[in-house]
Amino acid sequence: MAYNNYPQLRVLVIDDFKQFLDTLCSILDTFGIEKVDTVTNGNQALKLCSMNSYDLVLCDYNLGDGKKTGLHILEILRKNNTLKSHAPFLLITAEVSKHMVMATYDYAPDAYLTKPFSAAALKQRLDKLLTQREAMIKIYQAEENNDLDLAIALCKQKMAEGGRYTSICRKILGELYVRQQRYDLAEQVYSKALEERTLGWAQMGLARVLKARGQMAQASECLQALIVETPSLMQAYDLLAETQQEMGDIDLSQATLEEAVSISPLSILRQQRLGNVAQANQDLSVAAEAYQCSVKLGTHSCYDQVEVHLNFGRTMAALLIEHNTQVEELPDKALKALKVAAERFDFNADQEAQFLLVKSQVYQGLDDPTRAEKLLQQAEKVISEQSENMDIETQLDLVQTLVVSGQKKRAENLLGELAQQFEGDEKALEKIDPFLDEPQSGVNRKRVAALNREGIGLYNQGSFNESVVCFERAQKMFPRHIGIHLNLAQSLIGEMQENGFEQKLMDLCLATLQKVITNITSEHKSFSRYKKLSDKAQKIPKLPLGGSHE
Amino acid sequence: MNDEEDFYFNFVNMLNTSVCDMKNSLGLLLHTIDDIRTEMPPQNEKQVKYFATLQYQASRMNGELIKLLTIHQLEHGNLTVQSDECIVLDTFEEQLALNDSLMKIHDLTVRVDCDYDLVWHYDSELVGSVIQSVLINLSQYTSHCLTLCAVIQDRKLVITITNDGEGYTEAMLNAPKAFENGTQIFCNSSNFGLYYAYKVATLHVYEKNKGSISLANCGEQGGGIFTLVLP
Repeated sequence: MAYNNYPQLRVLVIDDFKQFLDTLCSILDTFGIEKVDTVTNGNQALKLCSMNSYDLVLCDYNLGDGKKTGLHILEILRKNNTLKSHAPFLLITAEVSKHMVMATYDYAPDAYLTKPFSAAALKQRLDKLLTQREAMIKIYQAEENNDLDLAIALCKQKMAEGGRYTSICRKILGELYVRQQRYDLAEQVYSKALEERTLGWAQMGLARVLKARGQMAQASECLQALIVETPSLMQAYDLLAETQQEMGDIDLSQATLEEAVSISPLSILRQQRLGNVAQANQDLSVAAEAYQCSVKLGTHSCYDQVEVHLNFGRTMAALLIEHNTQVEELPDKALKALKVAAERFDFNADQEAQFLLVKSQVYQGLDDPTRAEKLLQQAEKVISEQSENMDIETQLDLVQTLVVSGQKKRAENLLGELAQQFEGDEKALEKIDPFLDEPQSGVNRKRVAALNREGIGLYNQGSFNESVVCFERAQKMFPRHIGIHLNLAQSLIGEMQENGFEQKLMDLCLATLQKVITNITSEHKSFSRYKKLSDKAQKIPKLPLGGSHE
Repeated sequence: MNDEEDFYFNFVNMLNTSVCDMKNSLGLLLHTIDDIRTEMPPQNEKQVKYFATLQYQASRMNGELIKLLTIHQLEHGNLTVQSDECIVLDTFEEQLALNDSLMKIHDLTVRVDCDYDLVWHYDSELVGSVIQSVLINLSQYTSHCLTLCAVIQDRKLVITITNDGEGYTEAMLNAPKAFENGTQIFCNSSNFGLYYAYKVATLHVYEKNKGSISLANCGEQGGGIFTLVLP
């Protein structure tokens, strides 16, 4: 199945090794390819790709130490949709196995060629790729022109013809139906494919359909089964984590992403997602680690964002201040990440203010209040110079910075203003909620109510241990909610009254009660309840030490 | 990490890096051999033999390096089988193209007997490397002709590679059974190739069915048959 249109092709070849570039070009010449552009680095390649429309790109994976790799180039080309009509991108690697390179990234090239390869091997690969593209190009073009009905008709036609591209067409057909939100038809396509054999893509498609329909539990079940069967299918983890997050199971979502990241640590998008989920989950050390990786991977990636650098700083500051965690090297890395952000991005006023505030928090955490105060003043200057209100994120960074610098009264006042300013703006209120004693947004009010109901139900059944777990989860989401703190303390006391004293539980109980008393006065409506629980906790008898372990 | 683990970890890293370097060198070496042969075609039988030796040894080294690292990755690392829908003929053609010079130099004819549209589920890279390993080995023991064949039998893909020549030795014929019984891992270089094939085959599992390999001799007309079955 030799391909005949080589003279018509326009080809780009990317390799930093001049000798290899020459060899490759002389091989392409023997195939009859006439229009070949060659470059030795990623930036030149991207420039040429934006100017010309290539039919084929051949790119070496390793383009020199500390430079963009072939996969970084592919990432940018795919993200910006620079390669038209599925022009094949062939990656050349010296690695032993494509798995070793690929298991770690988000984007797969259309084909790989492992060095060493002969002219015949290259020819075979190109024949295959280009013949397939020729067979499929009308479908790709219809998709690109957003003529999905035409694309669907063409897929069906090709499937009716039978032959080697049937399965590819079936896969595309399913995706097209999903894009049109015709979920029943998509489901039919996937179910039919699964009748013949268990197929990763069809199971993924089915899970996507279930999720889109809101059948979250089934989607999650389907994906978990798929992961057991194919642990290397990274998209399955991503979709599962997304599903779990939407179901409100942030803990599970984080666990799924952590597993995925351990298999594929070099995916920047996944690291960013893990950082966000862990941050929402108040698991700050995991979040800081993930953000740190994201920042590192961002050096050559088009997915690097200011937000990620700032979040690294935010989690770092929180780790240092609230949790008093000793983390070697990480604070330096966080400060460096902030510096890099300032160099790499043009900040708008909000980002500038956030940058200064986050930096101030980190210095506060590093016990350098003078520097922290100076940065806070700079930030406030930036904010006061703006005629319009700043973003909610900036305002909350200011609140947090005021809190950690000991200006609690100002923080409280600002929070009060924000709650008024954003009244009715659900998204903003959700972001304010973690700073408040009682959540303001509808979603979070419901969440608190549901968690309380669940926890109290467990407590009343005498399942103290489970109710502790439930309230701990609630406490993570609403770290300032007095009612939740007290419920947690009560469950812990219940557990110890039932099953005996345990140092770990007692520590948690006392720490939780401490959080309550630092935030309320004796006039607070919950004060008497606090007092009662505090007395009860004191009265739990410590068991005599066993001796053998101590 | 204790010293021993540390040493092992470093050693594996070094091994990885140096194998990549070796493969780069081999790549250039193989290209150069091709170029020399094009510009200065062999003038006599003796020169043909020289080229054949160069080509074979370089290919063999490359194949051994791949096997070594893949086995290591499969047993200690994070390499898992990644089955996908593959066009069987493409897998064949890919390996024949990769080993094209080797076949030409040994003046071997390769026949392919496989349906154009035959699609099956397997890890094309791993299965491809098994086919390559068999082809490189057989290039030394085949008189004129090799046949690659693929068919579906009892809902399994059966790939056979048949050659004319002296056939497999008794020890090799028994090797797959011995791997299965765990009575023999491998003890010499030809068995290492078989062990690799066995390993890759058995890692392909579908609905409780495992892949397998077997060897047989053709009987009177000579030659051997290597069979790879994938569920």
